[in-house]
Amino acid sequence: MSFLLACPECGERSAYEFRFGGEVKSRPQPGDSEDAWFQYIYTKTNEAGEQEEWWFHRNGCRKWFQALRDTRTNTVIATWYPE
Amino acid sequence: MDIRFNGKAIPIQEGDTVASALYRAGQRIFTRSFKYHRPRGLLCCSGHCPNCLMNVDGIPNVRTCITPARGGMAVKHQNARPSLDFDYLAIAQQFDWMMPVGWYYKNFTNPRLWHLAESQIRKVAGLGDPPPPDAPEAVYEHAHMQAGVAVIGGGEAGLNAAREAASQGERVVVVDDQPRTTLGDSSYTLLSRSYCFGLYEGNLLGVLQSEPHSGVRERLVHIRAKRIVVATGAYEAPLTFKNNDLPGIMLSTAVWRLIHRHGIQPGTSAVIISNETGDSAIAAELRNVGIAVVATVPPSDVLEATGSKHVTGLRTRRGNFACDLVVMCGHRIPDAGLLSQAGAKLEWSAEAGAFVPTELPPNITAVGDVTHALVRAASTLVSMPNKRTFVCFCNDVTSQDICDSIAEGFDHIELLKRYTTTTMGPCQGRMCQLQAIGICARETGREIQETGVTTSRPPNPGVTLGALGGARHHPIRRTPMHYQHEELGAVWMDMGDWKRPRYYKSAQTERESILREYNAVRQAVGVIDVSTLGKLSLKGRDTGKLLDKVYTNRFSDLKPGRVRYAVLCDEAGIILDDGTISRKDEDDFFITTTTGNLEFMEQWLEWWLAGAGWDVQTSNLTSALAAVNLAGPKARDVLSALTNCGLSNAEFPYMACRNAEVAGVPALLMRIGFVGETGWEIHYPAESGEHLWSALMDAGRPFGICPFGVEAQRLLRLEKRHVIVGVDTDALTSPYEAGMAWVVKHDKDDFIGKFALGKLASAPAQQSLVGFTMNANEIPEDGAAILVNGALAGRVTSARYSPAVEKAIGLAWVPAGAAAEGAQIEIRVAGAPVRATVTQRVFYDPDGARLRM
Amino acid sequence: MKRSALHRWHEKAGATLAEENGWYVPFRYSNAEQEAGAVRGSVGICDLSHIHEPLSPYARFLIAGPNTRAVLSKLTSLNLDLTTAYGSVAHVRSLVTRHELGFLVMVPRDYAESVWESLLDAGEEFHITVFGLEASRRLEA
Repeated sequence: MSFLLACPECGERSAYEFRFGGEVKSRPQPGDSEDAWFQYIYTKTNEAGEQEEWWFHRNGCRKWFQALRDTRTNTVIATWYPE
Repeated sequence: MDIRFNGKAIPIQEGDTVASALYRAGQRIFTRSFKYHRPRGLLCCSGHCPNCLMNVDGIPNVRTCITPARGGMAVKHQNARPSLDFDYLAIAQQFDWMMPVGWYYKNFTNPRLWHLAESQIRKVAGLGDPPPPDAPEAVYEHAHMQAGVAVIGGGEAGLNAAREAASQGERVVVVDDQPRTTLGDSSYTLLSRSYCFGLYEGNLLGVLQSEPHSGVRERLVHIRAKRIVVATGAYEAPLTFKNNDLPGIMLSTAVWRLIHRHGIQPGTSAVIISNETGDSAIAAELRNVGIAVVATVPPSDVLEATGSKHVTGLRTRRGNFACDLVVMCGHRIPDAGLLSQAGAKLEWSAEAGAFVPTELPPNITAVGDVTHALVRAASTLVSMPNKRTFVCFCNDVTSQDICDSIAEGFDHIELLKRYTTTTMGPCQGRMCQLQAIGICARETGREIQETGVTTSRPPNPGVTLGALGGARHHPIRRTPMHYQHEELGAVWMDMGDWKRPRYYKSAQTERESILREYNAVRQAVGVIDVSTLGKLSLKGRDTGKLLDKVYTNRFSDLKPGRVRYAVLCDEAGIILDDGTISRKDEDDFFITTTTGNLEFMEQWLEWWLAGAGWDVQTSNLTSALAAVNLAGPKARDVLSALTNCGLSNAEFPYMACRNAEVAGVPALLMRIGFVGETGWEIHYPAESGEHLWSALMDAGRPFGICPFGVEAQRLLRLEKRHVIVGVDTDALTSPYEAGMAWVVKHDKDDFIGKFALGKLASAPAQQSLVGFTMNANEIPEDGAAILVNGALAGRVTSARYSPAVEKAIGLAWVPAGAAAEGAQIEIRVAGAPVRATVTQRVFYDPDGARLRM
Repeated sequence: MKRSALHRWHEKAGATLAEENGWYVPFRYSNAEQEAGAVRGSVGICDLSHIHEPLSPYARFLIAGPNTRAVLSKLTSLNLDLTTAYGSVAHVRSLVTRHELGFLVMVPRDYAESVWESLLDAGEEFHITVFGLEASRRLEA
């Protein structure tokens, strides 16, 4: 797990400096169905391929950002601050 | 200059390794093998095989053939009792029929039989012994390097690559296992006495350096390199024939090193096993030092070696030769483990007789012998199954074992490895993998390429746990008043990295000390250091909106100057944390969290803000502020001596907050009551920590002020039936089960957990958090089992003796059916069930009058 | 008077404390010339926690001398060609900034003593010195 992840603020660092925050998912609206909430809370896509995900620079600048990572190779394609 | 071997003095010469010095002094048996305790002698002299492992200066499993000898070293043998020459466990060979390959799986299908055998097997298993507990501790450290190019291997190919990269302006590091410390040129950094044990993602290299400087045994160097050049060369592996493991049967590399590096003559008459006809280079070497070369024989003609504790001859199809040295010109194997770890493929080259690396990932190159290793033509890999033909020297796996395993169905190379444990010993496959693959291919009728190799994994070679741990400095967090607590007799406890006073030693026993603290808070005044609480400042127009969203109750309607208890849940409705929220001003909030959850809370709040575009600025003030809780009927008396702030009930009611100076220090005061007495929580700059604590202790002296610790606080709050998140709740607790329905404000449009909490509100409870009382003689431990009809049905979360009700009290999780007021439950105390009574009433001052004095 | 997180440590080390801006600061431990010389020759650390913004959580150390990088590289994987960067020093999250004499290492106050001791430990190989404000002013001059 020592692959390199480019924090938008601090640059490339070892993945160990960060905390993984899960897949990027959109949160259901109040009033959405039980199934929508169930999927959001309990299930993951667990993509074998490029995945959008959250990372927190725990041992660094302590900011959240998103990344596109290929989960098969741990190649991080891009990182950015969400709008 | 001497070293000591089993107490006996052994002279050493310049350049000696421990093994060469012992060999020169006549030692021929260096260890006994793992399973059969067969005598083993020097084989590789390169640190690749398990034959020379001994205990050096208390450290087990030292590869003596590559360890420089130093005067005063104390060397002891391993794995043989009473001696290497006579080891009574060698009798194991007579029982080889009882220990075929996979014999654990075959014999111990009965668990009772296994338990009987296990204790005996443990006594004889393993090689070296760990140092005794009172052995002097060694010092280890870590270091980090960044390089443009890292070259692994300081041989000719490696150094050429290093110089070339350096000449192009790169920052170059070379990792080499030899002890040289001087370089021809300084264009690159040399890590000497170092080996690279692993290549990890992102071109991270793990390197182990021995004795980087005096006083430090090993240094673990993490190297991040943009480019890596692997120049690890090739090593030689043994041939297989019956009794190929006898002392005196050596690889040509070992013979060459003993002669050239150590001036040793490793025998008087030798047989060379080699595919080269005529006078080979090694034959010339032997003759030059006076060793008679009796014969040179191709591997396919060798039948068996003879001898019991040392080789005495070699039987071949060309005749039987008496000898005291057999030189194996073995397979040359590219040392490509690091390349495999990087993701390169290994392809079988019949021409080279070896697996060579291909498809190297970008930024990794290989130079030198590791790329092809074609030094001599391959010898055959055929070996007839035999119970004394050793393939794996580390674990005593014979060619018979391998053939039997394949016949039993373990015919995939990865299964074969795991079933026989071939390649799983100290050499990690260096001596044995190729032979095992060859046998597997032949027995299954496959090509070698199809049979394939097993996965190479780091660390290889092995690394000590000490080196992985590094310097013994685990971080400690101290509050600003740490040393004042020390002077007051604090007995410390750990809370994560924090040190907190559990209690202050003021009486003969712990119990008496804690009771004294308790009484001070209930009857006079006490002060506790709560600096470890998480403290977050949130400012901005959208702060109220954020808090309403993230917490279960409402904060946008909290008036400036007021404090509210706060609970938050996750989307599944599980309690994450609790704390207080004070509104200092319209757009200025101050949050406290539990000590253990601050890290999480900061991340959680920031996550909800990320990309939301809301006007909220957060600031983690945990380390910037110290905090104390001053509580007791005399708290007002003490505090009024130090501040001009109005403290009366009219000016400063319960659950209000004010900014004020205390002892000249700007502070935030909150009137809250975790322990159930009138009191204030005071937050102030950490650099004034000692000053304000001293001022409180001085002002409090006439009123009998007493510092109190975590234990007393736990008891005080338990009497008020206050829940501690993470102690009384766990990862499945919702506010409804914990009796906190009132914190969930369903009339908010949206908040984290609203959907799940909506469902939980109407779902029937499965279990409930209840209070209980019981006889003061039996106080259950935190976590004690609750029994209903004799069956495990719940657990105690907190229990203490309560001076207020003179009984044992506590909180517990019980099934919903057993949660009625007055219900009887049974709690297991010291192994026996004891009756307790459920109560939902607050144990002390249920009306809260003491809070509002 | 305001105190650095290392106040007790300085006292025990026999520092001469002075007052500056309402803070107790370690002025010298033995002799400013000796301290400055030791830093110039190898490496030293100095507690500059009194240079402090309101509500800052950080303790602040200066590490100076030719062996600065060698010491820091034992405690952090940060690339020390940096000007300023967040990272982990001795397992504690820190802010490391280039200083004219070496590097400034800022760590949360409560970890200050722990990190200070780790620096001294890592610096033992180089006979690291602790130096006071008087010596630091000589070095800056």
